[in-house]
Amino acid sequence: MMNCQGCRDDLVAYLDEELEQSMQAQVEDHLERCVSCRQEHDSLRQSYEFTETYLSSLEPSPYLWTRISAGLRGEPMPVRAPWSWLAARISNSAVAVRLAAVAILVLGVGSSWLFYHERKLTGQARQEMVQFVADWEGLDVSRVNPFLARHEHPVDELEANPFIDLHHHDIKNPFRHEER
Amino acid sequence: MKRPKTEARAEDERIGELQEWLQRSKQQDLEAFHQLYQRYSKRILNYIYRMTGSVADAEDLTQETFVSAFQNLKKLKDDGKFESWLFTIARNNVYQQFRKKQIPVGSLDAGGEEERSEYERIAAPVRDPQEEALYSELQHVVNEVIEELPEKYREVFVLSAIQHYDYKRISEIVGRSLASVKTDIHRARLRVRDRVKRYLGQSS
Ligand SMILES: [Zn+2]
Repeated sequence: MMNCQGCRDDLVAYLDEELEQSMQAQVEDHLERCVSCRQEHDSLRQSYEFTETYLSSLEPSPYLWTRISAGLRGEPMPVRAPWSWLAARISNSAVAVRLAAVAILVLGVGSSWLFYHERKLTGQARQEMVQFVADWEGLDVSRVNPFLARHEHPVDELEANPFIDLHHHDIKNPFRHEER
Repeated sequence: MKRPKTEARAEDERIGELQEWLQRSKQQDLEAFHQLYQRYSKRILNYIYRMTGSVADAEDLTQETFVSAFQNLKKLKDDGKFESWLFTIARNNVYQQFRKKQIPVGSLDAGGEEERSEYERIAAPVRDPQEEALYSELQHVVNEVIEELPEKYREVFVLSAIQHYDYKRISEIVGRSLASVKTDIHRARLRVRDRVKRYLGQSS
């Protein structure tokens, strides 16, 4: 018959359903009879549920595949698309509107710039980009797409050259590797 | 435990599909490889993220993993091992990164927290503010508990508790014996339980 030590040693494997049937039966049999091991089992099981419930996970961002497939086609592609970190900040209210405006400029006025820097930016990639910006900002796609609609925010000040402004701005690029 | 028939059939279809994608990917078919990417990218991304603690590194290394998988796919002899193989590539990238940055294995990137909150805010479902506050506090606890695990335990914990792989698969990925994987998962689970003990009861 299984003793307490034997039961404790196998409790995690038991919860992970990794025990052979005969061992599993022995653990269950012991748990029926032993209050203290049953308590141990219950607290472990609760901790499983706890981590499962409060575990957060990342979603791959839509442009990740664009980066990968461009790399695999042997196309020149920046490690991060210029608009990626820009879109990433868009949920951040104060700079959001400003950046959204810039995003639109990137898509509209700045598209030739983009085209120059990412010559192989395909229609699909562009669409992904628009979708991505829309998702981050919580807007309908049509409100982001410069070919369908205009953003209501005034963008005159940036119209001269949006990129100079960006590079010298105090907005931190969340994707840049920094010395820590 | 015997699986119900329909489930078994769905599994067979899944394997058939997977094999087709693999075969086509080996012929450099990028469309087919995209299917593989869609199936595994989230797992790979989150595995690397948990290991490095950095969203930026997780994305870069996920990219490297899939690029190198595509380029080396012909070397994969046993298609049934694709998933483990993919994780092995991801794992190599993680350890290479540790060496490159000369980070002692297991000490996490301090910038992780800020970057992560960016993502979580986007992904979080809508709750009432109080509930939301508690929820994100407990999420924070879980994040911290995982980060604090020694690397050796953290890796198997991530693969077991987050990726839900069985011990056999985990031992394939980390290249250690089943017995040592079992021992480390056991220790990791006990540590995690001890750290979250005071929150238990209020969670369910
Ligand atoms: Zn006992």
